[in-house]
Amino acid sequence: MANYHGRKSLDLGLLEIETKINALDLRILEVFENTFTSFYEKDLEKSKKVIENDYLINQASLEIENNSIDVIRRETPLASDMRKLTSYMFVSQELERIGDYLSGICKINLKIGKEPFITKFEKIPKMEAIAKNMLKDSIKLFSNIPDEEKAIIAARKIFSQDDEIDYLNYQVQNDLIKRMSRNSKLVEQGTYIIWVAHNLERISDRANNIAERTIYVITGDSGAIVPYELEE
Amino acid sequence: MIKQKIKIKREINKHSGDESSKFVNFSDPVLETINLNVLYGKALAVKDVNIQVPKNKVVSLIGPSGCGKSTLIRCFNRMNDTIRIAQVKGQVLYNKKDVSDMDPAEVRYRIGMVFQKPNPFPKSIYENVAFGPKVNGIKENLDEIVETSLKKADLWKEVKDRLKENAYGLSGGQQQRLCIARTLAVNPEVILMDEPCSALDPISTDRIEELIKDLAISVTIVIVTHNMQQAVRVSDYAACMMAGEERIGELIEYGEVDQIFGNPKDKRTEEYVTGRIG
Repeated sequence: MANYHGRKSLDLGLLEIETKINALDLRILEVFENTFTSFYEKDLEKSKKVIENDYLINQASLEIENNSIDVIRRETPLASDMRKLTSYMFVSQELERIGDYLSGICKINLKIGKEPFITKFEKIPKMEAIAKNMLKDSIKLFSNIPDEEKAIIAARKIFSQDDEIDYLNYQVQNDLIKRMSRNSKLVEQGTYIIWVAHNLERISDRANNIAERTIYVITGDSGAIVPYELEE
Repeated sequence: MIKQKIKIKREINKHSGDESSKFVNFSDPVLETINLNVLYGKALAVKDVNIQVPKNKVVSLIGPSGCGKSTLIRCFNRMNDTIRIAQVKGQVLYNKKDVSDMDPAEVRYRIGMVFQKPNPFPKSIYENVAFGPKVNGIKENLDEIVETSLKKADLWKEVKDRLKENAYGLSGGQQQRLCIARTLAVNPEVILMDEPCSALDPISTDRIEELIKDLAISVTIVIVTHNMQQAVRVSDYAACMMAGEERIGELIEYGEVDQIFGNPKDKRTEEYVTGRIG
């Protein structure tokens, strides 16, 4: 007769990594807030702090990776346990990259310095709001994985915002390039702001990846979600 | 601008609740059971097993102890006939022929068996391998049969100069390969292996696993193993058995090995392969 005995050591290992991912999630969301308040308010000290503390995100990501490798080596997991562990490593790297994008925006803030902004910022706050929502939702999805049906609905909601952020990024680039071509004095800051928009667009892509990875954890099918239809 | 749309290929809950998708079928199996039930006395040990084993593939039987794996594998070549209280109901087909209508000796040389513990005869290495062909009346080319069988079992180089020595002088791993050579000597179409590596060290285990993969080019292999990684490494298909409260073994899932160990459809299989039930 089959007896349920669980795998205490493996389950504890998984729990420890999940706790570390949750802590990294919270840190990233906090850094997100700090990055944009420091940017709009020209709080250069706050921006410096984000840059200085980026190493903590890198460290946390590396720790998650090492813990995952350690559990794989020790417990020889299979099936959904293996998918979870490889996904922990993948997601921690995605979060680390998001940290780099945010740190990059703070570096841009320092470059612009106290110089007045050349734009009123209509589209970038919209992009920021969308990217933050996508990030929050994908983190939530990965941390509390629901059943397949609910996860796919949640993932679809995250993906559906991607087109909008892409379009806003395109508009920011277009507007600023037009203005820069008319007035060369705007070129330096204009280029920096294009980079801010670009980093936000990249953050939304990473949020997409986290949602995709959640579907993989559930289905075991890395091709379950595929990009399709590249259209002009 | 380039817009990237995303779609989700997978249909929601494609597999859940679909019993038929838990069991793979083959059009021309070399072995097949139809509604197989095995009783020991009055106690039902294995219930309603329907499984098809494809030709020249490796199928592993997995599941917790006491779930009926060994009972099932022993049905394929009528080894349960040797247990007085065992009753086999339903059909076991070998190339579409019911094994109960065949001569048991013929069944066993067509469908050879290797056991958990190496069990060479207390004879020379040569005599161990030549034993089967001799019993089958083969008197010529015995040297050639012995050499070919030992080569197929990856043992020839180690024993070619000591063929007259007693087989008991070989190491455990060598004895197990000798038992495989002995099985191969009668040219079987199927080899059943009941935990063939459980008494062996990692290096000997590795050699047996390599041998299994090489043999599967021309022989069908059914292997019972408790070693999940071994099942993943050597098999093409895996069948998971499970016994419930009543201690009656059932086949709960059968599919490609990557699917069984990567993304099983039955929750009990998932719990077994991830080591949570056993």
